[in-house]
Amino acid sequence: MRILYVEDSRSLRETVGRGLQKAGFTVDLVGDGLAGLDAALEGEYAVIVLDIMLPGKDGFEILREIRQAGVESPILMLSARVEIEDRVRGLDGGADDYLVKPFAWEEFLARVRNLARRRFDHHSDVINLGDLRIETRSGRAWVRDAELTLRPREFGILEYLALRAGEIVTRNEVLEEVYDHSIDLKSNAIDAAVCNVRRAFAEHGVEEAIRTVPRRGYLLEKEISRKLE
Amino acid sequence: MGVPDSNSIRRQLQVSVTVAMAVLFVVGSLGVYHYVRFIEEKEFTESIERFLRESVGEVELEMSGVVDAGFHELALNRFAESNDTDDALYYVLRDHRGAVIFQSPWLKDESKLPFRPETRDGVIRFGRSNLSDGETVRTASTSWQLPVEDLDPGESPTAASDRARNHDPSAPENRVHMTVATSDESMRDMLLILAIALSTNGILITVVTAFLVIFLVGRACRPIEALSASCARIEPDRLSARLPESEVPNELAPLVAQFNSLLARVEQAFLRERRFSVDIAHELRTPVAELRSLAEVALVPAAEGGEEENPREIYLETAAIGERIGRLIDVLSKLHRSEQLSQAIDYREVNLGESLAEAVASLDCRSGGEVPGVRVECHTDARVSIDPALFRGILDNLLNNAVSYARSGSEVRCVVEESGSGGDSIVLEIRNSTDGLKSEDLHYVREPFWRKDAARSDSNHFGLGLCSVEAYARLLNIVVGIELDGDEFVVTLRIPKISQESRLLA
Repeated sequence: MRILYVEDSRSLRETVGRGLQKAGFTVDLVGDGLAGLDAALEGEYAVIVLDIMLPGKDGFEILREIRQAGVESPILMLSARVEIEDRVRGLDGGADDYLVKPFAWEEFLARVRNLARRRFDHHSDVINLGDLRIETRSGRAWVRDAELTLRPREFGILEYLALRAGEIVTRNEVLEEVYDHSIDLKSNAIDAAVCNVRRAFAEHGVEEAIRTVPRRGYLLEKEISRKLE
Repeated sequence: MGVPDSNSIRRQLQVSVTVAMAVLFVVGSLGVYHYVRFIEEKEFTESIERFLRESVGEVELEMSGVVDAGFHELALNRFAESNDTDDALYYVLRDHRGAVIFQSPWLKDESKLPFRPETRDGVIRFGRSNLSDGETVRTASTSWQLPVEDLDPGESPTAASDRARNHDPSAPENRVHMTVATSDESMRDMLLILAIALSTNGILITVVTAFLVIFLVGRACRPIEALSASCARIEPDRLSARLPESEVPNELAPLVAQFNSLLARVEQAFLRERRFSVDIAHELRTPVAELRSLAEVALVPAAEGGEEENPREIYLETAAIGERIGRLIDVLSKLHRSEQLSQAIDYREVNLGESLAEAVASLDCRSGGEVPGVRVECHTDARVSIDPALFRGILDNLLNNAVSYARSGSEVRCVVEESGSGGDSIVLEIRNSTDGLKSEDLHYVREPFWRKDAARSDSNHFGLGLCSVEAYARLLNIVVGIELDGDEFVVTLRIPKISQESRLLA
């Protein structure tokens, strides 16, 4: 999932960017308000993390213009400003959350994940689809009590498909949300990863959980059940 | 805790004015009573005296040796006609031995009226007696030698002479004493009625006055009570409240205006203090967030295929952030010391031109020579008594700001010259070009942490430069002037030219 982080402090921007990448997110980093506004209007982000005191255009203005332009990405305001009126102004202006610097990394990440899920109308750390249970926080998945053995990318694909269970997810969307365009669309890396997820399901008695829709993409069933042996 | 009612101005005024009015009425009533009594008694006494004198004039000794008085005959007639003793006037005429010659027909016991034969002629003695029936009367008495009756018309002088010889006017037996008396009951009754009327009126007027005073004083004190209530509503966290200045009595208007002005100043001070604290917190929050994130993210293992963090880069980053926080703390503690006037001042003779040149040279060294050109024009070699370290702090801050904010390719110009009447001060002017600074910004440039860039992205400046300059300058009695001259930002320091010797003498 793609995150936009607009922050003028170079050190914080780069550190948070690295941390988000480690957590499996794709991150766009921007250092000033004007470029941040352009990026928010042009890209489609799972979450936008916005500082308030920015050169060029402050965070409140960016927030207002983003919402006026109809961008619905969840927005987390991340600022050193602690005053109640600042928080109220941010939340009333359309922000979904407000976090004050300095912050605990785990808390920041949890808030980002929560906002990212909210985009898919999902509010919990755990996704349950029949016998399949996915914990987004720990990056682990189970079929009943048996844990699936998945690599981070494979888990990313499963999580994204699970968040949109019952919907067709295009290869391009997987490429953007999970791979951050780091591979070519024509590459078979996505197919290989999906194949590995299917194999992991099969090892635990789940067949045809992920269907391929010709020339469109993939679809994860909403109700996944393990076949009785 | 409630304020005791005795401390209330309203209550004190009500009690004081009521008591004062009551005392006034009592004193006034007593004055009226005693004045009326004095007048009545005077008239009473005069009427007795008048009667006595008239009576004395009517008493004659006839040749026949009979004492005659016209008023006595009238009284007898009146008594014969009516036995009315109201307003009776009593009299008794006695000879030199005290024997009654005649007395008023209403007088039952003449012995109750005084007999004072020793009274000299023409002298009237007043007194008070109780008659046998208990009536109290006031008396007037006198003694005199009876005059001899004049010759009757047609009477021969010889016969008159014979009678005259028989009745020697100077003979002691011809001396008489008369006392007149009358009751003062009606006067006393009248005075008693007057006293009761005055007392009753006094009590009634005092009660009515008390109610009026309570009402009027309460009404007059209402603005004070309204102000007091307004003051009580002002809470420490609600300093924007002001006392209403309209409909305030003239006497209280200056007080209210001063109080409001004081509140405004306190509010400004609180806001400045709060803004300062918020600014400090803000300035520290970002680097602390940088440090914390740096450490916590470094502890997270790299993603699949991702590169592990380079510890050396993290250490270098941490050191840079720490150095920035240290600089901020250093500037803040210096600022605090100078604002608390706890900075020790070590006055030395300093040549300003030389100090300026040293500061410029040091600036070049620190920045590796990559700064806009700084031109120094020194038109005096005057020396002043000043703290070199503090003055150097002022110069460093001003020069650092000037070269940082000057347009690239422009020049910073520093001019030192004597000024004032008789060159009693030295003016140092530092002038640099500026981009985007507006005249309205001059209201804020002295504020701590203010930067033209609202995002405060420039980590090399904390926005405390001019604030520190002001604080140091206050310690050294230097006047700092700030202005925009076209697109140039100009800072002027007016330094009093006091020698070390005169400072020591002072």
